Amino acid sequence: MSPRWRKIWSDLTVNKTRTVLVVLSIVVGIFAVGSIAGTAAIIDRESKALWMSIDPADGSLVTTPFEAALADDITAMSNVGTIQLRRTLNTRAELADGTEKDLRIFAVPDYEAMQLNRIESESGDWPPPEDAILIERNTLSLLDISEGDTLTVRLPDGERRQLPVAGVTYDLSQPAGSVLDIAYGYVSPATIASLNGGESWNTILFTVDDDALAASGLDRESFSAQVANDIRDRVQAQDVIVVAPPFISVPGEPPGYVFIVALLVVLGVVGSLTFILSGFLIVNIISALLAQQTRQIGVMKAVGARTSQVVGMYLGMAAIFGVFALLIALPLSFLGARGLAGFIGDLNNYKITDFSAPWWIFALQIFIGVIIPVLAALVPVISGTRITVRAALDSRGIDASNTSFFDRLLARFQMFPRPVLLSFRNTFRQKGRLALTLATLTLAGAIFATVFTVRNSLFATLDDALAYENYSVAIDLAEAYDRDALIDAAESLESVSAVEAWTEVTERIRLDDQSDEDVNILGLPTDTQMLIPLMQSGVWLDESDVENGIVINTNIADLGVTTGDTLTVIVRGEPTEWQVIGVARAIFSLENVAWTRYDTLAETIGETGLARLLRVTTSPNDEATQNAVVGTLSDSFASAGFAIEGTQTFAALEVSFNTRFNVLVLSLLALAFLLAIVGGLGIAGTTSINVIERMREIGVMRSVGAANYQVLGIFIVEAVFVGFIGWLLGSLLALPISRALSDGVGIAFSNAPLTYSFDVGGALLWLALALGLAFLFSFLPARRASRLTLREVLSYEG
Amino acid sequence: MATTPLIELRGVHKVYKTAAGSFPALKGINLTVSEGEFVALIGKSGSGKTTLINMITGIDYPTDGTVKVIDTEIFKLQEGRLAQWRGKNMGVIFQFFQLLPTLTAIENVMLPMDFCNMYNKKERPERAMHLLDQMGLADHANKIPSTLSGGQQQRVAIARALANDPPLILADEPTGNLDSKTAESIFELFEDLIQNGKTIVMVTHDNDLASRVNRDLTMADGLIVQDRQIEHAIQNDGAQAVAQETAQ
Repeated sequence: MSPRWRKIWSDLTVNKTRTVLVVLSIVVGIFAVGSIAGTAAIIDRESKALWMSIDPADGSLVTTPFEAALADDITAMSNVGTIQLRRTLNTRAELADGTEKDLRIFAVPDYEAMQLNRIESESGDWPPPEDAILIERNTLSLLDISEGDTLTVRLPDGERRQLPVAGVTYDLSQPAGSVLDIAYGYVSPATIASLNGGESWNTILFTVDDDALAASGLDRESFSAQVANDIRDRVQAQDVIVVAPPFISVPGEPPGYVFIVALLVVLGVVGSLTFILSGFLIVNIISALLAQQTRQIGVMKAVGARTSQVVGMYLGMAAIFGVFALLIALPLSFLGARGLAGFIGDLNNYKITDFSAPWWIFALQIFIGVIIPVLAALVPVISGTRITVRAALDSRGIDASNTSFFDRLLARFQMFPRPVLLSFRNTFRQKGRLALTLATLTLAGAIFATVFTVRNSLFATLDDALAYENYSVAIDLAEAYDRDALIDAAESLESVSAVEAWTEVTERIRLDDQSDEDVNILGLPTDTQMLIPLMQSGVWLDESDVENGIVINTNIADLGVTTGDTLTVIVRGEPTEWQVIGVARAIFSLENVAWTRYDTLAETIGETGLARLLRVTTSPNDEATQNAVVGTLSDSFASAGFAIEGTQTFAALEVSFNTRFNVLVLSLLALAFLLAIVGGLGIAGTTSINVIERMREIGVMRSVGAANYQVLGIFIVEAVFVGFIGWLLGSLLALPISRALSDGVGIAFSNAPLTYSFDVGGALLWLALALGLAFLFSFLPARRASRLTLREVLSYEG
Repeated sequence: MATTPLIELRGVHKVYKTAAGSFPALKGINLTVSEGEFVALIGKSGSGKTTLINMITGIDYPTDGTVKVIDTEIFKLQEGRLAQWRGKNMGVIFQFFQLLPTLTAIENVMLPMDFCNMYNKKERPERAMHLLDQMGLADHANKIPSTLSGGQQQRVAIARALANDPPLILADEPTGNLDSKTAESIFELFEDLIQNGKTIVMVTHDNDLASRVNRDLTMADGLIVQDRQIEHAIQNDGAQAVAQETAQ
């Protein structure tokens, strides 16, 4: 090895602390970017491949029951490609612990010849045998059940049926039941007929005709929406009602993929900030290293080295740091990506079997690990090596200081002890180094506080979302029933403290440009206690006496509809007009929802005196009581002849929200932890190097009478002071950054900013970390220096 | 004595600008040093000795005047070329040795060869070991500077200065940090180098050593105030004595 490279290698190995600090900071940066990029690549590849393997439908409609013959009518439509029928039955599963879970049971005409959204067998019997049920693998744990057990199912009419669990399926076409807190079961056509008393279907899956698509000039998604509307018109002409807005797939993407993308984008942003932070750290430490080796640079130039050769040496050192970091970070990133992709996959029911990352992920990490440190080191290396030989050799380890404005200012504060004043003055002595250190600390603190604030904002928004739903139990009925009878039946139950009966309709709004958008309209009492909307503009129903007043959510407002507008809604094929009296905030919902007076909507849809939805509050309002009320209410309604389509408790809604955002919250906390490491490394590196490069100064101070504790105190005060300034600036910077990221997260997940809530606790936690680390990493080297002999300290060569 | 001029300074001024104002360190120096001369620069602190040496080595730039070393106007060279030229044509020795602390003695000696791409890679360690052997340090070749005495470190520095076999050696207080016995041994090395055809310009405070060179220049306030050629006669007992001073 040539002497110049031998010098670089020795510098790396002699000062292990510095090498470890730099390498670790690069490792964190590579890990943050590599694991998130790797996760994104794995999820993108595997989920899309899985999705395409099931022959996905372009869209689906859920309707009132119809006979199979209708399928021929739909298939004959020129813009329809393939269709697949399903029957969906919403029931409740009774668990071993006495609680109940929503269980959605499906059946298809022929499991062996499925055309779209194919379901696969995981284990056990296939296709589902008669009078047995297969359970979707992702929802087994929800039911706490295994293959071979017997499941008790409560049907909408209240009847209970025992169905043996004959196998396990994999159905990627359904949103992950574990997130929605809904279990999925699969039975034969004959079984579902016996469960709901008839052989009919209520779900139409379709693909569009490719020739018609090409001729339309539209993209697939837009054309699918058009075809869905055409199918709706066709079936409604035969008195089959579409009961929910048509679901249109994003071509090539499984359900929920958009949320995963949003999650990974958010993590990617924070991960990239972490990486930038580690870049600052590299700049800082390389600058300090060059300052320490000024005289050596002068000597090398004096004995024949060109500046370019010296630059090459130190850039080579930066590259070697990167290589060391890669050796650690590459396997860690692989494990991180595997873990995070597996976690996301399990949560979303993606059966990922191949966790290999594409080659470009490794290339990206190699680029980040080697090229970026070299680029980060470029400016400090070039500026540090351009020093003239004379200036370099004249460096005596104790820098001359000009009297600056700050020095004169400090001279007025005589109440502080001299050593403390010296600390403050030392802090501002090397302004370039201070600026770099503060930049690192400020950015670290800002991102740390931002992560905690985004988490806080997420929880605040979840609270807002849950506050909307001021009920204990929600009941969806299979059809419209007598409203008063429903209320009487519910009010008679113990633990029920209040009941409201609503109606609803799923139709289309016609916008100014004559395009249609689906909307779910709820008709409820104007003085409802079961819904507490967050109004963005206008008034709620109880503050308006407009008979056809309607409050829209912000998703509809984003389509260009505002308070005061007249909204056209196509109800049962006929246009109706509504006066928009207010806009309420949509929270974690992408659906178009509107609310109006019960009487007006019921009359419009011809269901005066009838209701389709029930909202109940219980006392006490705990999970057990809610679940118990669902059970007794189901029995009571079954006795009264009211068929229940579905139920949801507030507790389950809470769990669903929290589960959905758990990944984001946990990932943000993990990134905060990484940030703490990088920020901590920044403090550790700069404070310890600060002490080391002023060893001679320590010696001089001791030689003129300074006690060890006084010398220690100077460095500790300086480090803590810088840590405090960095924290202060970071907290200030966190305000706009956290606001921007909170808004971005909200828009990414739900088209609306989060409820912003700055986490003071997070900022204070960073203060404690910053000051604690500043103390520790200045105390340790300063104490070591104070224990050397004067001769050793004065002759220290770094 | 050879008369080929190796160093020529003409009208060299150096002014330092400081917060306290301008400070003229050199005030129009004219100097010629011929090949084979052993020159001592003496004077009090602040007289300009180190500044003058720095002009000759190219470590510092004159404010005015020309500096020609080995037929090269060194300040017409770009910084990179000057560094390489210096590495090949001069050996610089410092008061505080200035060895790289993380390199061994032999690696320090090889450094100029590496930077200036002199000798092939196989020859470099052999030559470096030979130079250390000449300095009596062959057994210490693989030690780092912190484990060597001051005198040993300065010997390593001398070996480094000789690495590329330069014709000119410049030493700034080479014995300033050494005890008298060690200083004597270093000086004897210099005398050997002169015998082997090198030219040496040395800054020193030591009058005893200064009296043993064959030319001394006394500086004061940025000027050469005295330039003496010194001829040494060998007495019958082998001791040298100043036989004649030729004032200039």
